[in-house]
Amino acid sequence: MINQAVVSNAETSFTQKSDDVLITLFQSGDQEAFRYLVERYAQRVRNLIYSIFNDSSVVDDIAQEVFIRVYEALPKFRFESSFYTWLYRITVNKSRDEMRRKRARKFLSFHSMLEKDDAELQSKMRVYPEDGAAKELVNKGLQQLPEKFRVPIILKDIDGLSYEEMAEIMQCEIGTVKSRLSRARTMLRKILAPLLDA
Amino acid sequence: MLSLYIDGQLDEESKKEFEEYLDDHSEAKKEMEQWKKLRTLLRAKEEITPNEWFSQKVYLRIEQEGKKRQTFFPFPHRYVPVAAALTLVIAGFIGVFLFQQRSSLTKYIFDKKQEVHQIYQNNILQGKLFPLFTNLDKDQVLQFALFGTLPLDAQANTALRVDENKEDGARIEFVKNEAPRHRNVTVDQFYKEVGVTPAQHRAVDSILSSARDQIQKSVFLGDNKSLAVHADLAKFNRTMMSHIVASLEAGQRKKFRKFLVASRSPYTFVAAPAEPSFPPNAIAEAPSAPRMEQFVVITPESCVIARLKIGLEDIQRNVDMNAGEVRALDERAQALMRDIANHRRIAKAPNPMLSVYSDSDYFSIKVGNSALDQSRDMTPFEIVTRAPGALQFRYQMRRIQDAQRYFDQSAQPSERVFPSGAPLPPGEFEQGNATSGRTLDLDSIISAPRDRKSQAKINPAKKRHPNPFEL
Repeated sequence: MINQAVVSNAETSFTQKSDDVLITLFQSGDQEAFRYLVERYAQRVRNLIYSIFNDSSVVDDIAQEVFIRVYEALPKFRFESSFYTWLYRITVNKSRDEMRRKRARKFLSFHSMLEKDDAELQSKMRVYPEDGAAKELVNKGLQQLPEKFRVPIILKDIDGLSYEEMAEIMQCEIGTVKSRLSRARTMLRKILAPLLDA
Repeated sequence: MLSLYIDGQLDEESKKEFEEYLDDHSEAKKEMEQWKKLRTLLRAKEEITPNEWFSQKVYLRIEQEGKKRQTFFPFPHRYVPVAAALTLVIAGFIGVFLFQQRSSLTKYIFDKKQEVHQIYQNNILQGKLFPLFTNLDKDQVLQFALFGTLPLDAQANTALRVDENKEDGARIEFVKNEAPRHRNVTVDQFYKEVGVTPAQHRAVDSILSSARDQIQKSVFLGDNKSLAVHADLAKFNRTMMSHIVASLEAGQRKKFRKFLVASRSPYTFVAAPAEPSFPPNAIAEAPSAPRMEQFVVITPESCVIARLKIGLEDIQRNVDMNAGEVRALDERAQALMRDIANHRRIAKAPNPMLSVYSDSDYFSIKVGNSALDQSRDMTPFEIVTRAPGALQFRYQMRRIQDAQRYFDQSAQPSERVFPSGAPLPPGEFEQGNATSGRTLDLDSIISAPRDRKSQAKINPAKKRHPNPFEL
């Protein structure tokens, strides 16, 4: 069916083709199709990474790793899930790898750094509750969540994915997604309570 | 429940019940309001600035990664699984082969260990080494150059004899009760016959002196009935003679050649292919510092090649401290030779570079070319045997008739390279196991002259030109 779609849309520009068509073209040897997939999803992947790390300096490196992995694995893609959930899964996994590396590097100073950030955050939230920096405070609050609670919030409340899609990306059951999301929201609400009370 | 309500996951009935609960509980309602505010903030979260070069960077990285893979494997990346599978199959075959051969491998390793153990524990390290030739005079050194023979014990009529050729490797022999093959010559006779100048006299003296040191460093008797002979000893006599020739003028060389014939030397000399570029006394400039050298180590039980570092100073100290033992060296050498000759296990030469033959009063070791230092072949003159079979070894005597025939045709050797000897008949000398091969006994040796006599009747010319190497 996909091949038929490829034939019938032969004259359609790449930008109008669906993910599946582009993937099929790539698997048939058309390297140009991959370029359109990158351009289509680059910003979403970069934003997801930015939400996870809240650090723009690491975004492009990790995003490049993600697309290289996609390029390597795409010839074996079997259309058993949608392309973007598969892409998000790779992104989340690469982000986890990077977090592990960072954790190992900053192990000694990690706790002191968190405490300092937390104190700074609390004072800012109380002094400037209506300030335009509220978004930044939310970002910082998000960073204080452990990774397994941070990702569900990002996927649900920022990217607006369904539970099913989240379960696929996080490689766990839907029930697990629900419970993690609930706990994550409670944790984040407590962290940002001064800001929300104001 | 709150989380599900926010996400719109509650059915209509549950949703209604939850909303009623919120109306009745102000705390829960407040929480709900907080959460709505938080979600608004999250959704309004700032996005990262787009990077217009991002796609280009990705393609560049993909290209670089592809190149890395191409350089790592010398074949297309898709063949990696095939190559890996092939490697595994080959490794599997090798593994199976080694497993099947494990008994012979184990035996080989065990034998090697035993061999090393034997050398170091029993023969070399635990024993004192004494040079066998400490008191050679210049005449004896000259005779070694001219005939390749060193006297072990005149009373018992034993000698050490060496020879070497490019095809066959080197041969080191211990012989007893063998009729002399050559005339005894002295250095004075040599000087007189050749007519050397005082300068040449000094040069030849220097060569002989250096050679004496070299011989002293080349043959050792150990405490535990072991004998170590430098694998290159068979080259030393030719090297020495080559340097003696180099110290002479053209006219003197002719006289020297006649002297060699008259004294029944098996050797003559020809100019080396390259012009000699080192001084006549180059032999004296050999490094004196001890270095690892290949030695043939012989005991009544074994014969192996070992790398030893023997310093002349250490040896001299040993000699000085054990003067009594040194005096008894000749007797010990004789006893060792008897033991070696009587002990049949000596025939098991474990090293492929060695072949051993022995009978009651004769012991011969052939050292393969691979064990010899080829750099020692660089001499100003090439020393060759005067005819095929001119230097006959005892185990080769059956071919003495061929040598006889050759000398009838070329009584006057000229300055040219003589053809090398004919190859040995197969089975004459069994490598590594002489006892299982065709062993020559004394009867067969004695029969050789008888054959020559019968041939002499056919060709009377032989009476006018007696074979200089006849035993």
